[in-house]
Amino acid sequence: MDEISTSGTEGSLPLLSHERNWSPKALFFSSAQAAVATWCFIIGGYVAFYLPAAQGSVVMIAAMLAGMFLVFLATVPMATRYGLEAVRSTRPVFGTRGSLFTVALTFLFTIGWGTTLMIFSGKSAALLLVTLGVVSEANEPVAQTVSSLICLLVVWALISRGPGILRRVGVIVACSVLALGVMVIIVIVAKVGWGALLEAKPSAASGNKLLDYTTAIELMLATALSWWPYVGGMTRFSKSTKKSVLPVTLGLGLALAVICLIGLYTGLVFPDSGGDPLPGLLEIGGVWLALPAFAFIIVANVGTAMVGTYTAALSLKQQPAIDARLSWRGSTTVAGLTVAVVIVFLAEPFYANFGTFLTLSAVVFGPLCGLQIADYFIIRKQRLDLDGLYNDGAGSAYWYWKGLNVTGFVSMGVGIVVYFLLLDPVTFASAPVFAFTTATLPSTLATVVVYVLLARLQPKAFGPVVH
Amino acid sequence: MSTLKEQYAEELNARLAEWQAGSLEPPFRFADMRTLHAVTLALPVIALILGWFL
Repeated sequence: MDEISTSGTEGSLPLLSHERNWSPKALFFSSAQAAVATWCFIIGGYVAFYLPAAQGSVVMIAAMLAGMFLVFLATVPMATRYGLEAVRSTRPVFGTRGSLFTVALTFLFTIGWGTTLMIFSGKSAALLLVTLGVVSEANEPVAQTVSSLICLLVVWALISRGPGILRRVGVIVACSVLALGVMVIIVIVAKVGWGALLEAKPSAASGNKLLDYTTAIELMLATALSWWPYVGGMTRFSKSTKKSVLPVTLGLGLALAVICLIGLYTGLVFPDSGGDPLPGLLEIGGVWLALPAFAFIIVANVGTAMVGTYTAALSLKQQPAIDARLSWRGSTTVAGLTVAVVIVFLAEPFYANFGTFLTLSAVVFGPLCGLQIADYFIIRKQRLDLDGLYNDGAGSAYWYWKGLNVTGFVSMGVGIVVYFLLLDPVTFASAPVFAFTTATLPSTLATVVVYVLLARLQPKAFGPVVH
Repeated sequence: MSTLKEQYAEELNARLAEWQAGSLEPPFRFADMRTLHAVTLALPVIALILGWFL
């Protein structure tokens, strides 16, 4: 306590040259470690509502990579050129005080994802314990909560020692989960057969082929955009934007999409599974067949939750006032305790509304990516004021009006409204034009246009000005 | 706390000085984006068009 981090890796300070030591290989494995987790099953399960196996496979991989375009341009060039993580990178677009909004956003979303993974791990462990006869069915909910908390404790014990663990275990975790994931895909295909898989019908298709196709694209764009809080935190350890292209797009985009195929195929073959292959594998092959899937779930989720907890803790420490009061261990404890509270009190409602949580990522992060791309590339021509990024006082380069970039908030608000006009993220009810445009792309574009126009028209006090 | 704040300010200045003294990575120009465009735009668009006909 009462100790401001003097290390850039664990606090709000910019990284020094020798601290930016991740090679493209290290960045790829850390990205893949972060990407591959059981949210892939749930996401694949959602796509299985709308598309059959062949189309679903293509859409998942292609749309995921397409979404990475926005996330990459919004985060990576800034992160590698100026060493910025997510929260600090929003000072130009939200203002010095306004970037507190991103602290909340990053913290809530990374905690949300982490919670999903811990609940999933607990559910899987409880199911296995019941199947093995270790726990009675009546005690399954308790076993689920306890297992989730044990996984969370492991995550906290590892990441509270410092973020260096991510680079050290990244290769091992990434290789293990990718190998186990491919093994699970092979087992599913071998047991069910290609023919049955290709014949399986999506369980909630609307009958409008274009609408179903676009809805699946939208889900994958939302998945890609949900990487926004994570990407800067990792790529700021890299020294080159150009050399980060393949590690980030393939590590976060392709690796995730390939493992999502497990959820897609499982969701098609076992429509009530929600994409989780464990119950199906237990049913068709018993415990021994389900063990690789279980190992995948635990290793992948612990690895990913470590990255999430790191990102959440780092976002908290971007505010010097918080940085002064919370040690690294303290901030990881805050993140861990928040997840623990949700696991104990809100696990079921939270888990049941995962689809809404996913699309809310697109609602928020699509416009935010548009805002950052417009600001960094169009308005500022890739030149930021380093002192302004780290100066918290009035009068600094990104202070604007009372510490807020009004233009940035207004533009993002317009983008969010456009999204809601096209797609309701709770009910998935959509406007007729949605089938042709998606909701993410127009909302992102609207934010870009409004921000650039306002920057040309507004008084200087409210935000950046270009003439 | 004031000592801590001073330490923080000193550390920050030292770090910013390194950033300002060292040459920043050159801007990410359109010509540098070929791989990005190929992997995240061209390939996905072609795949999504072909996927429609599956």
